[in-house]
Amino acid sequence: MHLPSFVSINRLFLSSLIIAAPATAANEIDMLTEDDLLVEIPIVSNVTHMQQTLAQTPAAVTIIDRQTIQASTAVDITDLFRLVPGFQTYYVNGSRRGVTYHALGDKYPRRLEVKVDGRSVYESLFSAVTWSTIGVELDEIDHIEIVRGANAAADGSNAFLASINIVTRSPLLDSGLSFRAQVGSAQTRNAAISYSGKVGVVDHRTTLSVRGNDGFDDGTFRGQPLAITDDIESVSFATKGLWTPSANNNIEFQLGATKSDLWVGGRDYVNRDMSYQYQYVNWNRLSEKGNKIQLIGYHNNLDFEDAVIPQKISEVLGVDDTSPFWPLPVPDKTIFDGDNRSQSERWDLELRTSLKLADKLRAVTGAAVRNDTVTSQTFFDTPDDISETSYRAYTNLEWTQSAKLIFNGGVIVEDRESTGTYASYRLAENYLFNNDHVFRVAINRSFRAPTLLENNQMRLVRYNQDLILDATVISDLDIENEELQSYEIGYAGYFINRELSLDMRLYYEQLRNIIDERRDQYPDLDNFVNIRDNTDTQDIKGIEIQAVYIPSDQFLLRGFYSHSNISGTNCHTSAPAVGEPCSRYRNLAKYSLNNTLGLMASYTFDGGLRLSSTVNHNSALEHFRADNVESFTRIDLKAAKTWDFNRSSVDLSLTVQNAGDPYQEYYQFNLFKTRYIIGFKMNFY
Amino acid sequence: MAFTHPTQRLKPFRRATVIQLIGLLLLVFTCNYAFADRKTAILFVASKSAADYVEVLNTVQGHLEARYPQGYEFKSKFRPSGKELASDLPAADFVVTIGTAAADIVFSVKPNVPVLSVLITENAFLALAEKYYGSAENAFASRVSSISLDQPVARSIALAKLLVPNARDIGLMLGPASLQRQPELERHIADMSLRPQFVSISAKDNPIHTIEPVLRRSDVFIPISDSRLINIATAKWILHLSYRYKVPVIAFSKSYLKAGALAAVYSSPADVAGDTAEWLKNPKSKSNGGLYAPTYYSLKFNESVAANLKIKLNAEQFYRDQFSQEIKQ
Repeated sequence: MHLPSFVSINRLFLSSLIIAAPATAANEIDMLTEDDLLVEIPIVSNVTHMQQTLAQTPAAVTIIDRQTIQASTAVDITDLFRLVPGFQTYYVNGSRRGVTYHALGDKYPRRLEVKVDGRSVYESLFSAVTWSTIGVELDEIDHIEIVRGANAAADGSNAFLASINIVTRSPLLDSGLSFRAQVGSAQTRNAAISYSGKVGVVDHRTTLSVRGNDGFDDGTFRGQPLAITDDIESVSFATKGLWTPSANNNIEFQLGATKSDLWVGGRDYVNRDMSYQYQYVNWNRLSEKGNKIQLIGYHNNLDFEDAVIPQKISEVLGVDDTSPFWPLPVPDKTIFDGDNRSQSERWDLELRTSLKLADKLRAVTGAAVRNDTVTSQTFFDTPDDISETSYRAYTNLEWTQSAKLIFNGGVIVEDRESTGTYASYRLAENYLFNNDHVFRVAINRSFRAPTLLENNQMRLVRYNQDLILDATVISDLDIENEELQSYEIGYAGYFINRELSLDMRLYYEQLRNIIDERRDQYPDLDNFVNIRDNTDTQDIKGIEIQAVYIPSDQFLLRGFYSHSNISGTNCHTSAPAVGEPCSRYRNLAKYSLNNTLGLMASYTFDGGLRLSSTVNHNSALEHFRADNVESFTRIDLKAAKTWDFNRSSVDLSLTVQNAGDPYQEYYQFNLFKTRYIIGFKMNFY
Repeated sequence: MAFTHPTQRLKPFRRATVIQLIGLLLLVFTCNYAFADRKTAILFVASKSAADYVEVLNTVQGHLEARYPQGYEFKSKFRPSGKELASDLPAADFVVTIGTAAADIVFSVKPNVPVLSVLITENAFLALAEKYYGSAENAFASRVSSISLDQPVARSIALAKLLVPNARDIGLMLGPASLQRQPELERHIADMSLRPQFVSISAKDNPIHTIEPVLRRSDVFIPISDSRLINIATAKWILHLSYRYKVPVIAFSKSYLKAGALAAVYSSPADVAGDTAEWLKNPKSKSNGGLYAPTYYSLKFNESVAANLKIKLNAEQFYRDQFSQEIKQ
């Protein structure tokens, strides 16, 4: 849906803010009403930006709460997504993780918005999330909210297929010093020290952490030994502060930096030195009636340098320039000796209001501006900055038509220099058969704009300004937005006094204009290039079932089953002429992860010993642009015990990941063998 | 002494008596007939048609219909206009207001029939009584009554004592709307051989820095319900500090409990309906109104919070039995 003018919509939004404010002020009554007692106390922020119960949400939501995180066998954040139906979590290599939902999981899965406390950590330089740099420790996560399904109407373009918000713990929850360490297989060496306390009027938690592992063991590739160099070492600093100058105002800020030394690639590994830093401020103001205004601003900066080894052309080609087979009209020279430094920077400012417009009508409305700048000679073949400023305005409405019927409607209008103005929307109807059984029907129409990388990629190996030796990837000049139309029928049910909850989602997602690569001719040494363009079409159908059973504080059981089927094509080779169909198509069905199953159980004995286990089964899969991996069943086990002393506690744990035969992760040579991790934690209050 | 034949003497008597008896029987019959058909007309006026209001209304009707199948006739209005209300009032024997806005509308027309206000806080009832009748006493004299939505703080204190038997210092947070209750609460807590630790907070105060010192030195903390701003703006910080200092919080609502309090005593819509139905079946006073504390209550516990606070909870029934005995005393 293309709209004529973003400015007029922005004006409309601002006008609505101005109109709404006095309307609520006029209704002020200087007495305690039943609303003061019956009002929901908003403790948990919601991915859809509105305080809603799961029965009210317009999408399927998975909450990974603190209890699950503590009981889980996860060693890294991405391990937690193995508990979410429809999600794929994999190691591209020991340094790099991939997380995707439904769509093809490649090295840089890109259709998933990931936020930490509302700050987007999706990098436009990679069109993906670099999980190793986000600098959030498992112990510092309060809960994770995962919207399964498009959430563009609330979160914008990147929340094309799903949206994740990692909510970190309030600094008020802890006090004193905490020391944590994990050591074990694959030379896993994680440690963190954090302090929660006060500096003047500000409550804070400050953490210094180091993480490292040696990745996968060396393996074989096509019968030949393969040295796998994929270790990672990173140091992070993070501080989260909270200042509450008055009852109706609070300001939260975060600062952080991560320095990582890691390896990228598969088979051929390149060392990457990566620095990441962020600053974040979130000001909240509550009105007398419980309405809220939020101003959120943040800045992310990613800077990295690849240690590419300079090589002579003759070394790469294996032909001397004196040979009659020397293919160039120019003499040999050293290449890959230029600037290998890249940078990505984001500034984002958002104003959001949460209003109760009428007894049965609530709204969250926001407007935001974002600037992304990237610099990379390697990716863009230019030393210059490439920058884009985008604007977005959205509103999400919830209308409780009756005790049984709730309607949700959301629309976001985005404006970009590259693709103009467009709007994504979502409509949902929730029918509450009774308080324990809710049926949902929802439709989504979403657009995902190409990132700066997708729009401007120009990956070339040059001899000089006039001679290109090899063109790897070049972006098409008129890449359009990706489009999604999805339909879902959902059910949420509660049984046994709400100890058992069940969530089901039946969906059909039509993806069009998906940005991928097509092969074309190019006058370089190998005579071809990959053109980044709108090349793919996908239809995804499936079902997700999730159940959580918590009969007591001691016992927790979570399980899920997901089945999905992709049908679609990728334009593999360009059309011979403009307007003609592609010369060759590739069927995408084989890249579908058809079946996943997960089960987690945890029991805490009276003495404090907790035993947990997680079982994951993935059907066989051919990873997109990687290898066939066989189906596998992975069993993780964990035993943990806490001892409490006067003003201190000690926690010991043993985690066994994949207590069985090795299985393949992404590439056939990435063999995940049994890993034993010992954890130790001390808290001084 | 002249002798009179019994029939001669009895005749006039019997005739008159028979006539009188027939008249009386007719009167009784017609009255009985009239009264048997004359149902008590109850007009419900609710602030809105939201779930809690509808639940109160339907449950009260259900209670009364079950007890007296032919005894009542009901009419319901959701936030009616003054004109609409005026046309319904003449036919009503009782008016039941559900919610503050409904009480506001009904009090403004001062009906000549008894009025019972429910799903309304004590604070709101007193404010509206003063606004329309001059004082609460005048409202009572006009046969206006109310059953408070807010549970007595004494019940929260009793619950705190049950859950944390060794507690000595009871922290209480008061806001602008509840500050005047401090002396009464101080006496009550002292009578229970406990030490009160009060903290008062206004919208201008830094909530964390105001609440933290008091919460930290309390064995159990009870936020008293106040304005929505105070309730919402402080709940999150109180619960976080409760977790940090391992001090249990006794809450006044179900949502507060779900958010992280150890236990809550509150009036659910079903409790409000129960109190309302009982009052209608047997009004406390036929000639005067009054302000009554709720009889019914809901007790809920959060096991997960108890585990975090290292509090070993007994079976819920144990606390229910103990609590019910405690509040009877």
